[in-house]
Order: sequence, then structure tokens, then C-alpha cells
Amino acid sequence: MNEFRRQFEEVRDLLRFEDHSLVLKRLIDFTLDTQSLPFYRKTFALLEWLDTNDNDTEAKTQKFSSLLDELYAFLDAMPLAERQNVLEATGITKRYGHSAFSLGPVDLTLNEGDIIGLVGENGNGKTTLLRVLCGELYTTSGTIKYNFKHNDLYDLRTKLVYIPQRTETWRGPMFENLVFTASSYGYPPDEITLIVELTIARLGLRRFRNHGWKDLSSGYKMRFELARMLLRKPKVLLIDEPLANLDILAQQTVLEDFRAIAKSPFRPIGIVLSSQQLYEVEKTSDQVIFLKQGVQKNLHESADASPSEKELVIEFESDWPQGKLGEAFSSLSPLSLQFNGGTFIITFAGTTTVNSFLKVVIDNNVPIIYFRNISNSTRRFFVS
Amino acid sequence: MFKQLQNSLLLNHPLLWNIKIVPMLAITIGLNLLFFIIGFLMGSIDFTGNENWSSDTNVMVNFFAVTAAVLITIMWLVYYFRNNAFKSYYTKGRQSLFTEWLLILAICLLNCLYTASYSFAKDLRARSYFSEQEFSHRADIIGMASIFVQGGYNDDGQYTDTTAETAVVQHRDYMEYKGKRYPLNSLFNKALSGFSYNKSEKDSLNELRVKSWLLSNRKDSVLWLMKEFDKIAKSHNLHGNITPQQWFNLVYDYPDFTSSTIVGRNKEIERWDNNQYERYDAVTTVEPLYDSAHDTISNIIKVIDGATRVYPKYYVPFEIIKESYSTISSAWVAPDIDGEALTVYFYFAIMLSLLIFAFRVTSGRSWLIAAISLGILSMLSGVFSLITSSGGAYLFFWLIVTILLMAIYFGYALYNKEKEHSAVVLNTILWLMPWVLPMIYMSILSLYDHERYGINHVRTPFERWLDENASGMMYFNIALILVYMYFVTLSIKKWKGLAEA
Repeated sequence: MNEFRRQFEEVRDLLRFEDHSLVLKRLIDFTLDTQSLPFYRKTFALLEWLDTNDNDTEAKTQKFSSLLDELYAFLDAMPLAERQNVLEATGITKRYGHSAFSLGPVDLTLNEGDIIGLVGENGNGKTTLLRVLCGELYTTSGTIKYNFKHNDLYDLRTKLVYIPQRTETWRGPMFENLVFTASSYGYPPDEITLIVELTIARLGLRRFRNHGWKDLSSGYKMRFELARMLLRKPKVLLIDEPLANLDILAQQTVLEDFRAIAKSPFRPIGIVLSSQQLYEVEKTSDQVIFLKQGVQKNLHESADASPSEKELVIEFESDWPQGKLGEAFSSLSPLSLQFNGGTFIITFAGTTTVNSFLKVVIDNNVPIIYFRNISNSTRRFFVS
Repeated sequence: MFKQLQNSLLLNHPLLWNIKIVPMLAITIGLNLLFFIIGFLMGSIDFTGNENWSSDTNVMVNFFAVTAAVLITIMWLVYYFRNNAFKSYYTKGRQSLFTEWLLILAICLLNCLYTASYSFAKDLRARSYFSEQEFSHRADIIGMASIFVQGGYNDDGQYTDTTAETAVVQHRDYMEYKGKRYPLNSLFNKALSGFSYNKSEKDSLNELRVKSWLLSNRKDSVLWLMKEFDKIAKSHNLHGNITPQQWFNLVYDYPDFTSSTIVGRNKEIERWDNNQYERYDAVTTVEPLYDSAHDTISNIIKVIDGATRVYPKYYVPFEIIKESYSTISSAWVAPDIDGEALTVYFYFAIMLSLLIFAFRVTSGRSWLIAAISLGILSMLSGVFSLITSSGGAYLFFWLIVTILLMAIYFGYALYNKEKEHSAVVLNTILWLMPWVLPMIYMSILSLYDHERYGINHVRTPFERWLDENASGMMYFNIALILVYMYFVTLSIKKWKGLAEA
């Protein structure tokens, strides 16, 4: 089963469970994948119908299903995009004049359809790395190879879309701004309005299409930037702290959007995003880069990982004091037990399993509020 | 329809939509047309002399034009600055920036031309009363007729006697014409009162023509002249109190032409009194008049309420005709809007367009730093040139500054890894480069300064060529600006791709 069919089946399942909002998003994704004006019109007509008939669940399911079938018939015949490598950074470093901080060396490879998460504490180089990758900062040493056609530096930077944490103010209605973007990028004039309408709906902005910058919350401003980014057809998308200022639900929605956008079977995009939300980013990303004082540490990297990377590290919260916990887990010969601001971090040799940890908890009736295996999470970098 | 047009531009030509070309063309062309119409209406000439025209009208119209231009520019920039595809790194064609600058220039130029449209229309209206050939004929008739009305004399009898040991100013009561002596009040001594349209050579020829008629006693020609003048007066519904024949009889006094009767220039006599421009209908008091040689042969003098008043006995409507035809003459020979005046508008528009364009392609911060830096530098160099009393040093200083900044931008900044402070440099060169050629021109001319103001200085052919082609140089420079801006805009696109730091 190819990537498109797999994704299509996922959408079918979503429809079965009547998760209409998610299905609609994926319907729009598939519609945009077709790059076909009749489909743009059909899906836009559906959006207009939904404006007045959103509560008619049965009819909605039927219309969604019908459109899905048509999209499947069209897209299944289309060749899937090959996921090319778009960016290779080798040993890049960046130093600022007299500043003590320096980034790197950093190595990374980004393919179309990949998401790389950058995590790390504040001031450890995440933004600097993103700005280096988008050409806003030059590298002190090392090389960045962009594996796509570009005529000059300006042309290159048009294909590397960087969304900073604090986005710039824009003026006028959102819809007009997005039409201007699409028009500047040479979309066929008869398709522009439809594509913008679909993109706006895809990012949940349909109600705000005529709103201005000052009328939108931070979350919607970020969605506007994403909508604009989608219209710019970037080769690489670099986003700084997209989850900041978003509530937990919005974070999950945005991350899911990133995933769907990056993994498009027909128009895949390479994404690099930075965030403090470790677990959310780890769930979404294909690779996570942890930056500590500018130095890179990767997860999921290689089979010949160091012994410390093979250890079992568990974060848990308990009412028991550290001493009592130490006695309880002594049978598993823990390598360390640390109290880390409200939670405990216990480290075992690589031979210990989560199940044996849980067995001790049960046998000793240890009161556990929560636990998480962080052996394969960058969380361990924050605590060690 | 207007909205549809805008929408179509947004979808098909985002740059034209962004720059608001349609509304701006509509507004600026509309206003230019309005000012043209106002100018055309205001430019009408009242040949009867009843119109109480005031220069305040010009001031008012120009003030309104400038205010409108400022407000429109502000309004335009608010909408234009809403979107900036270049700053956002949207895809741009190779010539896109150059096209954008040309569009800015076109809008700025149209928005600067309101006063020009007004003045041009005023002059056009004045010129439109007669064909140039007809006006030339009338100007000749009026000029020649001036010899037969009250007016000045060529020779006042004063001369410097250089035969004595020390030069002494002497007075004589005659003048010489064609080897013969005539009294000073002879028509042979009368000065022709002509128009700027006729150059002094033409006036001299006309004067010679009339005096040759007098010399050869060609009555018919003089009478013809007076009849022609009368025709002109009647064509404007103006009348004197004598017929051409009566006029002829009064002043034609062959062979010396010293008729004691002087024909007045107008029914009305005007004078300045307490800084008020006053017009007396057919009468004036004697005392305040500066040319008060009024006699009772040509004038009637009465004392009314203690003031002595003078009434011309005979007059033709010469003064009114002279006044209105002078306006037409100025419109032909010295219109407010000519090639030189237009260069001022062109350069103003170019500089305004470059200020806006520089802001668009760099940033407000670097634009402001550049403006302040140039301002400070300008003040310092101005003070320095005042101290040294050398305008040439000022020019050389700015020429060197401009060349240095160009070298920094083109020779270094474009090949650097990062922009550093080159945005400031880019702003300054955009503003200074249009002046490189004029600065070179002025600098070369300033090399002759110490000689130019000498009494016996003879200009070299090259110096004369420079002097005579100042306007041509300014126009050539405009063409040069258009050409080099094409390449500068290409370089700006390359520069924009550099890293920020």
C-alpha cells in the first residue's frame, strides 16, 4: 500500500467515526494535491454548503464520502512524488562577533516529507540554527547544500520560508493578503481565489477571512502565516516556536497540520521546527535535535549508540521520599535516582526493562502519580 | 467596474495592484485635468481691463495644488506600504524592481505636476487668442503706434562733455536723427514701447520703419498704422475719444514732428498712492504724479475740493491693449512652464521616487539613519564651505563622498557574505547618484570661478559649451538615471539575497 492509499484509509476511518473537522482538512489537502480546477470548485462548493448546513451530519457524511471517492479515483492514478533530499548541512558553526555563544558544529540532512524538531533550553541556538538554514545568517564555517534549483541568493531565499516566533505585522484583510501572495507566486488567475479559499478553510480561518492582523489571536496569526507559507510552495519550511502562545489543543492541531502538510504524498515539504514542547515535537518529528549551549545532540541516531544512550531512564512522580524510593528500587540496581523539581529520574542499566520497573512498583506498592520512559526522549538531555 | 478592475489586477498583475496604479492614475490624471481647466479659465484675458486680477489667486491655486499632492502622497503610501513582496522574499522577476521604480516615478511625476498643469494652461489660454502670426502682426502695430502716444523719449538731452579737462555732464535742447537736428520733443526722439515677444532687434527695425515714414513724409503709412491700431482696439470693443484721422491730425507735424498735442495712452490714469493701486476714471490729481508735465494743450486741469486734477483731452486705448498683449507676449516668450521649469518637476519626482523606493527595498531604520547621516554631513560640509568661501570645495566633497559610497556598495557590499550596514549605504547612493553628473558639471565650472567673475574674462569654447548646455545636461542626466537604475535594481535584488548578519 502506497503512502497515498494509507493516508486515504486513515481518512476513511475518520469519516467512519464522524470526525468531520479532520476529514474536511484532509479533503482539502487531497483537493489541493489534485491541482485541478474542477476539484477546487467542488470542494469550495462543499465549503459553502457547510456554511449553512453544518449540523446536518448525515448529509455531510454523504457529501464527504462522495467527494472522497472522486478524489481517490483521480489521485490514485497520479504518480507519487519522490522524496528528494533538499538540504544537507555539514559541520556548520555560527559565532557572533565578541559574543561567547557559538552554535555548532551541526550536521543535519532534510528530505522532502521529513520533520526535524529542534529542542533545547532558551538561548541554546535553536533560532540561530533556523536563521542560518534559511539564509538569514551566514555560517562561520561548514557548508549548507540546497539540493534544488535556484538562480541566485534571492531566489534561494524565496524557497526557504522562515516563520519567526514574532511574526511581522501585516495590513489589510487576511484574504486580500493571501490572494496577493498567491498572485505573486504565479498561480493561474482563475484558480487563485479558490486556492486561497481552500487554504484558509484548511487552516480553520474561514470565519476570519476578512479580519485584519489586530483582530486575530496569536494562534490564528500563526495559522495565517502557515496559510501564507503553503501558498508560497516552499522547498524548506523553518518555523521558530510555532507552539508558543498556543493552548494544548491548538498545539496538537498545529502539529497535526504540520505532519499532514509535510507528508503530502504528492507535494511533500521538508520542515524544521523548534519548540520547548518536547513530547509533542517528538511525536511529530522524524528526527529531533537537542541543542545544549549550541552543541548538537541527536536522538534516534545510530545503532552504535554510547552506553549511556542505551540506559533505561524513567521519569516518575511519587509521594515517597527519595530514600524510601531508593530502597524500593534497590533490587534493580539503579545507576542513579535524582530528584528533579517535583519528579524523580531513575536510571537503570540497558538490560532493565520498563516492565521490571513496574513490577517493583507493584510489589512494593509504590504510590505513582505518573511515569514516562524518557530513554528515547530528549527530555533526558534536560535532566542529566 | 473600478472594483472589478482592481480585483483583476490583484489576480493578474500583483505589482500593479500593490502600487495602486489604477486609483492613482485616476486621481492624479483627474487632478491634473482639473488644474488644467482651472488654469485655462483663470488664464482668460480681459481686454477691456475691467478684471481686477490679483496674484493672490495664483498663490491660492498653488497652495491648494501642493496640499492636494501631499495628502494624496500620504494616502497612497498608506495603501502601497500595506504589502511588500520584495521585503517578504516573494518570487520576483529580473526586471520587477526596475518596473516598480518606474511606476513609483510615474505616480510621483503625475502627482507633482498640478501647479505645472495650472500654469501651462494659463499660458496656453493666453496664446490661444491668436495664431502666432497674427499676434506677431498685432505686436508690431501696437509697438509702432506707441510712438504716437504719450511715452518716453530716447534722448533726454544729457551728455558728457569729454573735451574739457574733467568730464562734465552737459545738457542740450536737441537730438540728432539721420544727420539732422530735431527738438527733444520731436517724434524722431520718441522711444518705441514694444513687447518681450519682439526682440530688441525687431523693435529697432519697427522704430526705424516708422521714423523712415516720418522722414519721407509718408502720411498714408502713418494713417494706415493708426487705422490698424484702431481695428485692434475695436476688435476688443475698446474705444478712444478720437478717430484715427483725428489722431493723425493731432500728432502729424511734418517735418520736425514737434506737435504740442500729446495723445493720452488711456481714458484712465493710474497711479500709486499710499501703497494702494488706484485707478482714476479720466482724471487725476496733479501733485502725486511723478511725470507731471501736464499742459493745458493736451490736458484739462481742474481744481476740485482743493486737489488739482488732470483730464487728458485726447486719448486712445493704448495702455489697456499694451497690458493685455504683454500677457500674451509673456505666454509666448517666457511661459511659466518651459523645458527648464519641467526639469525641476522631473528632478523633484525622481528624488521623491528614490526616497520611496529606498524605503521599500531597505528598511525604515536604515532609511532614517541614512537621512540623518546625510543631513549632518551636509550641514558640516556647508559650514566648511562657508568658512573657506569655496563652493567648489563643497561640490568636490560631495562628489568624493558619493564615489566612495558607490565603491563601498558596488565593490564591497555586493560581494560580502552579510549585509552589515550596507542598507544605509544603499539608501545614500540611491539618493546621491542622480547628482553625480550635475556635480561633475558644476565642479568643472567652479574651476573657472576665479576667472568667471573677472571683468575681462573671455570664456573658452569649452566653458561656453558648458554654460549653454546646462539644460541639455540635466535632461541627459535624466536619461542616464533611467539607464543606470536598471542595473542598480538588478544589484539590489542580488544584495537582498545576502545574509543579514
